[in-house]
Parts: sequence; structure tokens; C-alpha cells
Amino acid sequence: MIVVPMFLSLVTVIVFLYLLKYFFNTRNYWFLAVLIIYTLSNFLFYKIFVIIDILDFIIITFSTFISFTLFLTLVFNDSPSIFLYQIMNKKDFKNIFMKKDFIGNRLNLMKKSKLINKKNITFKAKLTFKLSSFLSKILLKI
Amino acid sequence: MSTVIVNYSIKKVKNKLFINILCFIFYFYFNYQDIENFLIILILYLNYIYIILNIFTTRYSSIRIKIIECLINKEKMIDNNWLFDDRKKRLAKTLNSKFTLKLMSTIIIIFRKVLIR
Repeated sequence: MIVVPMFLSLVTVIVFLYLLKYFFNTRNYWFLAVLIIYTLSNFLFYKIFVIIDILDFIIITFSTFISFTLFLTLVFNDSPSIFLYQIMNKKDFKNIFMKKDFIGNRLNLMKKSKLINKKNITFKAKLTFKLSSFLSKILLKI
Repeated sequence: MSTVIVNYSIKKVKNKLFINILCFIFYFYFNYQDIENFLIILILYLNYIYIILNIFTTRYSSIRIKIIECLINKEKMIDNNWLFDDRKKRLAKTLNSKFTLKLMSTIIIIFRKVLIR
């Protein structure tokens, strides 16, 4: 069964990330850690469970990996909407939101991932923007 | 493929969703083999929906994409005040789907407690 090794791999990733947080700053290296652990564990479980449909297995594990990493960006990078929802009942929720400095945080992350350099836009950023627009037009027509 | 066709031929978002799900149910009805196959296609479909939703949210909610858009169009750069007002407006609009927000928020809090020190 293809689904069992895939779920076991996801559990392995969560357990390893839980343990790694005591040794590394998982906020900085979570993607690399997830990629390595998920690939290795899938390879291991693929051997253990003797899976015949390799193509099915690759498609399902790859799509699950994309969905899982998209979800983890919410966990590690913070979503402003969800953060605002969480603090909405507090008195000075605007101040708390401002202190979080989402824009500054994203600008730093963009510099790290070379999407911008000294307020100038890079080719990578232009490509990301065009790809995002293209996909939303093709798949969602908006 | 059916998603692309449906999106180009139907205007209302609710109808788009309804027909997309209907296509998926029809596909299952005619291709059902066993429970394992059903589970695999269901997971693939849910992944697909989640990725599509993320493409939509990235284009229209991502701060990074908004910053890039400001730089490309040489508009005034967004700041935390703009972000606060924008998200506050959106939350006011989506109060009907409070359950979804609460669910997402709870799941994220649990994951954050487990994965971040």
C-alpha cells in the first residue's frame, strides 16, 4: 500500500523536526531538513514495504511534499491574517501587530533568498511574479 | 484539465467549486476499483486543491509578491499600517468562515509548539 509509507514518512519528518529544534534554529533550515528527512524516509519505507507502482508512489509523495511544505510556511513564517485573528481579542492588538513587523521580516527573507538586493528587484523576483500571475490566470482565470 | 475548462467557462466562484467537485465525484463513480485506489486519488485530489488554493493566495495575499509588484510598478512601498488595515478588512469580510480560521489557527499553534523552540 502506497499511502502507509507516505504517512509514516510525514510522521518521521515531524518527529525529527521536533528533535532537531533542540540543536538547530529550525526556522532557518526547516525546508532543507524536511526535504532531506522526507526523501530519505520515503526511500527507506519504499524498500521496506516493497512497493511495485513506483510512478504512483513518486506522484503521491511529491504532491504531498509540496502541500506539506506549503503548510509549513504558515507555521514557520507566520501568516499576518492568522496572527491578527489570534490577537484580535487583546486590547492593544494593533501595537502587537506592528511590533511583529511582517514587512521588515519579509524584506529580510527576500534579501536572503536573493529576490531583492538593496531595494532593487532581481531576475529571480521578476520570474517568480510572472510565474505566479501565469498560474493564477491559467488555473483560476483571475 | 477539467478544472481549467470549468474555470474558463463558468463565472461564479460557487458554481466553479460545485462543478469541480461534481467532476471529481463522476470520475470516482466511473473509475472506482478498490478502497486503496480511492484513498490514493482522494489524497491526490486534496493535495491538488490545496496547491491551487495556495497559488491563488500567493498571487493575491503574499506580502513578498505585493512587495515585488510595488517595485515592478514603481508604486509606493507597502508598510505595516497598510498590511494591518488590509488584513483587518479581510477578516471583517470573512467572519462567516470563522470556523475555518479557528481550525487553521489551532492547527498552526499545535505545530508551532511541536516544531519551534
